[in-house]
Amino acid sequence: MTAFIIRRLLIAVPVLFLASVFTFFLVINSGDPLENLRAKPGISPQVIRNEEVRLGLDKPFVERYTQWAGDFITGDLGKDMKNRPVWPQLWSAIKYTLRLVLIAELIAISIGLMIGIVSGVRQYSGFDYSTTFVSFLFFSLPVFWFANLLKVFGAIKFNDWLENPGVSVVFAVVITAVFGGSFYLIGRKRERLRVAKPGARYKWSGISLGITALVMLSAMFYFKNREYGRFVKTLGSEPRDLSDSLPSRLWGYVGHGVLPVIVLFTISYAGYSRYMRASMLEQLNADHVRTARAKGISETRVIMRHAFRNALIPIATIATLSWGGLIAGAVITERVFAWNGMGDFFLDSLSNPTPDPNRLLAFVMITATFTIVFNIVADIIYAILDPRIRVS
Amino acid sequence: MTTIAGSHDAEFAVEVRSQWRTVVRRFLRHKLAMISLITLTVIFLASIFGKFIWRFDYMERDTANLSKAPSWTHPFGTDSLGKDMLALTLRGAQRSILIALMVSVLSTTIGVTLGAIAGYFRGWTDAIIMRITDLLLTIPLLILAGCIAWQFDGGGSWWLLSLILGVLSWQGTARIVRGEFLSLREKEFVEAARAIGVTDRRIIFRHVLPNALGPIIVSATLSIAGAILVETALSYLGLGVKAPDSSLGLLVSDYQAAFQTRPWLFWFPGVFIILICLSVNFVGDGLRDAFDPKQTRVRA
Repeated sequence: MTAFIIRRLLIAVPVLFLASVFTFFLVINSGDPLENLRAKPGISPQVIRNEEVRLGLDKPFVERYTQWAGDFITGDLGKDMKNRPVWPQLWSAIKYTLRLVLIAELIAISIGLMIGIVSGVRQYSGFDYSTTFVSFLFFSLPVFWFANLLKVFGAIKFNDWLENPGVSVVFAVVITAVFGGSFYLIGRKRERLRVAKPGARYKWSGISLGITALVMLSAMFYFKNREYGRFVKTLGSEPRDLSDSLPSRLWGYVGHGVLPVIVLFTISYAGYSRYMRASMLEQLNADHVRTARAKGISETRVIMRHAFRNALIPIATIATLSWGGLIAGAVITERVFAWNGMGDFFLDSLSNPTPDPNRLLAFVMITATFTIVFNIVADIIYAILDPRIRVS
Repeated sequence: MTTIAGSHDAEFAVEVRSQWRTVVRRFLRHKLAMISLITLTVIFLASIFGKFIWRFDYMERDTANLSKAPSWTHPFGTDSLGKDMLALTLRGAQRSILIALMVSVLSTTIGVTLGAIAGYFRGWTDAIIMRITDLLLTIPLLILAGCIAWQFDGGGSWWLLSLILGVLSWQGTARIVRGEFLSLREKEFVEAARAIGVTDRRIIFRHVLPNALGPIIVSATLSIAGAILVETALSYLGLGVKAPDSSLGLLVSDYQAAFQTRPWLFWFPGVFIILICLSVNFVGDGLRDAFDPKQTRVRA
């Protein structure tokens, strides 16, 4: 195994090297960092000359690259246009983005896998069709539009409601009836399919009616006239007031993070549920599952032990592939919700107002490094999970 | 509708269908895909010919109707300058669709060429092409395209932006085509062709490529949806299409501040993006099912 990991790491070196040359070429040519300085009236050629020397603009490509690459390997990401070191800025951005991305990814994986399993097992059912539609909808959702939509409905309108939370009697009755009715229908269908005991429809609809009625009643009487404040935040990555007690600060982090996490969730959820469904279908039609069923093993055990575990193997690679999409999504999400993460860092270094070579290089290289590392991790997980892959 | 000779009873006559007929038949019976195809066609035609039919031009200012909610005269409402939102949305959709189609054609052409070369010749050629693919996959498309488009001042022209996106987004297609070629080149009919001295070029184009067309068509279709999402996102961030040109992403970006007061300015461009992408995705899904010989859900 060690040999496999080492070999895999060695393959990554040339890719990382090529990526760095490519990135360097790209960034060096992405506009003149001194454009604004040159355009200033009354600036002496000597000042411009000094800046050019400081930024290394006067040197040929290869020399600039080796200089930069040498610094990069030793962990020095250089200084930005305003002469501040890049790494501390990037590190603080990475912390924000990773927090966002990891939480969203974890939620997306857990919900996506669950939905994927069920829609695979119940192929061509009403549940399967509706989750498929939702996945396709998420695939087609423009992130920036959805984020703005959430900002208004998930934050502003929701906060307005929280200021005077109340549920009208009509609303409560309708919601309760809808829940009770739909569970009655589900129960009846399951009775017909003989997967539920006779009378299940009454039990199901009764329980769901009771729970919904309880929630509605508490919304009508208990939660009314309480102080919540404007809980869901639309701007900023963390609570500004740090003097609060720990619980209220944690609550503040939740208020700031909930909407961006929802947006990033929609980006990766669809992929997981679709691939999990396909993978489950493949396993459920496999010979070993038929054997397991023929042996008389219970259906739950067949699904969870025989099909699900094997279906997980290809998902390991999907998890790493979603990284690129998540970073691109984070760029947009952070712009909309004014987070100080990597997306903000990228847009800022690209166009504020002229490109900042060292910041851009640092950003692209870190993103590329993450991608490569995730790919290696995926290969290793794959090798561990799938005994057919030779590791030696 | 030929019948196999020798079948005595007309009732048991076997209908002979070519592979393509089967595919078309399967696709036509895929309800969701057909609805999507019709939606897509309507939006596409409206975005191209809309300006000849619709009474308002997208640049025209109806100063009597400033910031008006949707009505009979302006079905999508007007903005604060009195511009008709329907005309603006159609114009934006036209630009976005045009770019997406260009990107799809470009990326499919590059992807198929490189994938075919890599899969057919294998060895060093394959290794080099696949390393380039890996390389381009390490940096997210949005960031790569953003860096380059910014340099050309946001690809001020639509064709430059489509060129950039097309040249950078062929990796998926190349991988799929390479996989197909790797398996097809080992088949007996290819061996037979090689045995009678057919040239490599002819084998690639006449023998292998037609057999790999299914996955290529599907991925070309799906890449349209991806291209629209990336282009609108870039335009939203100010790195893609810029005024005075238009794009659905640019419209969302322009009017997002008005969402609370004049929601119609925000809703329509976004809903158009979703409609187009959703339809494209469903058509792609329908095509995938139609090309899949294992597919039994839709009876052919």
